Amino acid sequence: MKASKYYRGKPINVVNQHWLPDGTVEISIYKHGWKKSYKFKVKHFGTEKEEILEDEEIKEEKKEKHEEE
Amino acid sequence: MSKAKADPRGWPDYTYPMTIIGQELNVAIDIAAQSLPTLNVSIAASDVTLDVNIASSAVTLNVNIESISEGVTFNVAQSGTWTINAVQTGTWTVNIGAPLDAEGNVETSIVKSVQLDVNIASSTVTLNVNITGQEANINIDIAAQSIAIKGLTDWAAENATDIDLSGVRTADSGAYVYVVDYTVPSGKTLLIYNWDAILESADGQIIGDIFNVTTNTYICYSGGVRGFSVVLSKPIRVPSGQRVVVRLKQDTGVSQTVKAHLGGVLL
Repeated sequence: MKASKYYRGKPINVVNQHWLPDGTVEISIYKHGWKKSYKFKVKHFGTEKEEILEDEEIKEEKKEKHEEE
Repeated sequence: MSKAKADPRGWPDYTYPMTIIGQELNVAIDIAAQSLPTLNVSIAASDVTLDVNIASSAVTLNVNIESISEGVTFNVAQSGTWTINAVQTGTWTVNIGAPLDAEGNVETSIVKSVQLDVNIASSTVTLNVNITGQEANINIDIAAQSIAIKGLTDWAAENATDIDLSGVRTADSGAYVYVVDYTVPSGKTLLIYNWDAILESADGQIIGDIFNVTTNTYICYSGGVRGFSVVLSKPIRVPSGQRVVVRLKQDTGVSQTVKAHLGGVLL
């Protein structure tokens, strides 16, 4: 699952938002139990024109799904 | 000459045959104390009332009551003490008539003034207690307990349902900027317990607020020199799907880096 989708749909424990001068926002998310945080970058964050520029794949979530299966 | 002829029955000489005719003769017989054999007495069925008075003695009285068509009633005074000593090696069956419940168990009733002391020794038994419709006060002494009572925030941190949102950005002097922007996930509720903000590298006033973008409502405000920190006495509730932001404004006269943090619990 992509970090941006996880951020929107699932509970997480830590969110860091870095609002950059070019109008983009880098968002790092972290959940207890993960080995690292995951990052995605958004243009026009919080508006109807919102556009995902970069989106990291969350590997721990895939592993969790496999374990559940 | 002999006194008489020889007795034809052979009795001694000092006995005389005697014949008493038509006499009323009282003969007193005195039988001294004798060791009599067992005297069997048989009392046939009758309506005789037999009063038995057994004086204090060391006698063992074996009573065997059988074939009684009517009940045998023992009346024990309520103020008295009734002790039943059963032979440990024997089997003693006590049949109690009414009151019995539908399963044949003896019904018991505890009067209101009874104090029931319950002492449960160390065990692995699970005791389910269901107290309903009582006016009694339950006093719980928390001191000297091995268990801990935790608030929601402690439980949330322990169970990984806590959330910390932070943001950093450069803010022009005198203009509000969003520094934290979060939309509560579907099916969750955000409870905000604290929030804070700082000016990173300059002295000056900084003010801020928590604003609900979805409902277009301001929730709370704060401010201070170089920064502020607010611990809420009650959490701020943000329902599922609503977007909440932390807005900051600084007045140093130049652009400055501002930071904000918002802490809470996702339920």
